[in-house]
Amino acid sequence: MTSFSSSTTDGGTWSSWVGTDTATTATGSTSGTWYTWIRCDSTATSGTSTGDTTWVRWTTAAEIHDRNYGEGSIDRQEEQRRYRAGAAQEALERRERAATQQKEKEKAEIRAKDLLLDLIGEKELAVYNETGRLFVKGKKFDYIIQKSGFIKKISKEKITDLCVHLNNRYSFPETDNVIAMKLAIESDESGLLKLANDHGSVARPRELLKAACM
Amino acid sequence: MGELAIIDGTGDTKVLWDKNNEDEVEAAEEQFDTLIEKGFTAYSVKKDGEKGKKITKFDSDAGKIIMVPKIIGG
Repeated sequence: MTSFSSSTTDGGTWSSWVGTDTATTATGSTSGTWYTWIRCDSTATSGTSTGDTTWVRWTTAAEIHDRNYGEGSIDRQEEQRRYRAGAAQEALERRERAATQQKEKEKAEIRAKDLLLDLIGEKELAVYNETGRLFVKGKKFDYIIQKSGFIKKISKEKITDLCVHLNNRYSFPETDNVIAMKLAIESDESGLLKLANDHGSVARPRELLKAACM
Repeated sequence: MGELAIIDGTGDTKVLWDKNNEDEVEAAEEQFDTLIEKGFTAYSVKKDGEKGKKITKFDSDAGKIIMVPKIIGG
């Protein structure tokens, strides 16, 4: 082992890289791996200046891949177009479903109000429609049932917020919940009070909230 | 004509019966019992604003019965 420089070795990796001539640099070689790689006319110093060579095939393949699958490729554009069309269709269907559900909910609320009409009459239903509240007299206390929100339990000194409602309340029209509370207060006030959770009290104001009543 | 109003997500579903028609009364009673077993509470109500009355047995003479699903504290 007397050689310390790859350019002076013979028959080694360097030699096969640059060819078997006496070239001391790869760019100066006219045979060997480097030359095959770029197949230059021995003046080329980079792969980009070559013709149909490994380098060109390699870079061309990358360009084709990029054209087919890259950001701006036809396949990619088509894929994105389909994705956008699918997303738009889904959004449309979602909106239609929501609109249908909303219509069904409104129909259900109308039916619930028809049922309440049977119980309180037209005049009070008009007040209920205006206020969303129904005044109910129990044996122990008076109550204001609200379409949304707590039931107000009214005593001489204070008004207490009670939370009690139909199980799965939001799967029912709001007025059905009002009807259920009215019937429960009138027929089993103690049972309802046991179920209800107390959410705090305030001093009773001089004037109560306006509400439909019997 | 009797009416069973079952409170549900649609507002209510009605089951009607003519008390002179045994089949209709039987069908309404069967529905009533099924709902009571499921935990519904039945109230007999009148149109004149009289307070609802809780009932546990089907009454074919009741003008209107409202079936209410389970109530819970929140």
